Amino acid sequence: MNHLPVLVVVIPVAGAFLISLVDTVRPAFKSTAALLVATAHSTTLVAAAYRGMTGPALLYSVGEWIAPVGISLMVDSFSAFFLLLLAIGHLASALVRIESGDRSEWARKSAALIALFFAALSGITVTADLFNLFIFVELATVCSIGLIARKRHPGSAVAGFVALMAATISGALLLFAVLVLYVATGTVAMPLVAQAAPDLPAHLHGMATAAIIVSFGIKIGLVPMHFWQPRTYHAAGTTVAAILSAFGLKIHVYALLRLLWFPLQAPVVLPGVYSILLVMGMVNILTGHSMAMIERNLVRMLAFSSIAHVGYILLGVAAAGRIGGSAAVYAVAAALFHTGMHTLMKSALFWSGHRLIHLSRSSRIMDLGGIAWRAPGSIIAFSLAALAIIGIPPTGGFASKWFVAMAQQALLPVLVIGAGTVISLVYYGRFFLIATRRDPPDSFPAPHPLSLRPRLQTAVVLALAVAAVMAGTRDVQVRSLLLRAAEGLVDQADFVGPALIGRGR
Amino acid sequence: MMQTAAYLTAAGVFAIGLYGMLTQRDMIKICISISIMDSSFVMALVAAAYVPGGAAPIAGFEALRFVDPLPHALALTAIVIGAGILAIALALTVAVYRHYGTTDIARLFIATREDS
Repeated sequence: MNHLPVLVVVIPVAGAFLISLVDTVRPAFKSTAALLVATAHSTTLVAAAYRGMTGPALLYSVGEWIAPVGISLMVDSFSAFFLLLLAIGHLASALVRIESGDRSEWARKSAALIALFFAALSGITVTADLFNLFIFVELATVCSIGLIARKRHPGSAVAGFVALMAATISGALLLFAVLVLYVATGTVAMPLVAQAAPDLPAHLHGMATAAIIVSFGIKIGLVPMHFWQPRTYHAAGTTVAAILSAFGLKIHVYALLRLLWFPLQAPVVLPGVYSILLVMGMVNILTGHSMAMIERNLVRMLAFSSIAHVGYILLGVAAAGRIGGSAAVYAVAAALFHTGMHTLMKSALFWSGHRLIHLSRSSRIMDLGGIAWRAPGSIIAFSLAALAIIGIPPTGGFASKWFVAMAQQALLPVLVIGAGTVISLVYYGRFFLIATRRDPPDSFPAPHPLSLRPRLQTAVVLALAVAAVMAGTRDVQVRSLLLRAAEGLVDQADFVGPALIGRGR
Repeated sequence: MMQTAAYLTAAGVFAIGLYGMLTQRDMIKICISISIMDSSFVMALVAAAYVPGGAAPIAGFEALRFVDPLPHALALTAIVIGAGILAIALALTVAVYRHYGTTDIARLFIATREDS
């Protein structure tokens, strides 16, 4: 039996314990321990993703107990794509944090929390059991609340509490959906629920689907359930906001898609749900971009931008669900392309913004006037990522938006994508003009004593931004990866087959 | 009949918890509401496992009907998760009260907006 599916969870959990131990015994080596854990985890994630992409789905039965008695973990080509994003995320966040220089108690604890958070996200990605999914979602929630409230600033505790309230409602709805599916099918194993889904009573299927959409809608910031995100990202700070927005949010998108397509069989049983997602996607784009345009705080502006970009992903997803059949593969691939691009672009934006905010000691946009001349590396990375996220050709952001637009069957979503692009050009352009102003204020605050020359941090954000730009010119290579991943979602034989074979062993 | 009554009770308890969570301004009362919501799920899980005349599924024990132990395992896990979330919520409440001297979430929103 190949142990990779369970190792992607076990390694960061053990690593979090190791980081805490090193932090207690030899605090100076804590960052090295965090980097070692991130490297080991990322290597395992890439190995699992490679197996999932190149062969049949990888099945793992914990304790060799086959479903429905035991818990199954599985890596197929669809989950492999998200494992790759997690590999980038864990390694990049460890590299970025090496030079943070923050020695506060909460900052020290956050290295272990980040490892646990990535363990939970990996668990969400590989699990094939509904209740196990709920547990990993809750573990991710607990870690994210810890990361949000880790700052000594009491406003972080208030934001953490608001996020916790939202997460509690989300968790309650997910548990409700799991309970409904268990009562209706007698199992919580995804492959077995998927088999029974077409025969479920319509009201039970509808209740479970609605609960899952609202539950993950809160997590990914669907309007109007996005109320907690800007406040939370602002309080969490740019380092954590990047992890939550670029990686945590994407894994919750993965969970929503997996549940809709696989256990619920929504494209076959309840195709109308994708029309609702289409409308929600357009509302997210317009609301997110409009709020970002009137926002005066850089972190909150980026948070509203994330809300808008969830809308682009949903447009691709909705198009796939409405088309149905094997033709849906292209629309899912477009949604996945934008998911991957947003991961690169938003992590680069938040982490390069961290340096700018750090130098000016303020995240208000007007206080960042002329900051570009004090951190040229960071502003270059920020500008490259901004070009990509606006959708300027030939960047990856342009390519992904183009593919999402091409997947649409109506004119209105395409017009909304165009309007969103224009609005984002306005607010990113405004920030660029302010940041590159030639007349910086005379009384710029003295640089913060910590982290004065973060060369590694700048190199990481530059690499992410360049990758986001270059992906647009490498669409042939990217396309084959995306189509393979999309087939994993649409062609469920890859996912269901091994599970049923496993059941018979 | 028994199962339906238990589901309805669980739904009622959940509604009380949700109402409290959405309408109360005090963080302690919101924590209590979260706890009530968690309890409703435990009740629903226990109700889902109910089999009239069912015996415990112990190896070697013979009976006409067995109770599925899965919901009980889920209920135990849900209790643990709920306790963890509640502990964090209370810890945040204490941290906020020490700084602002209030647990009124509406007043805290105004205070934190002024801080930022």
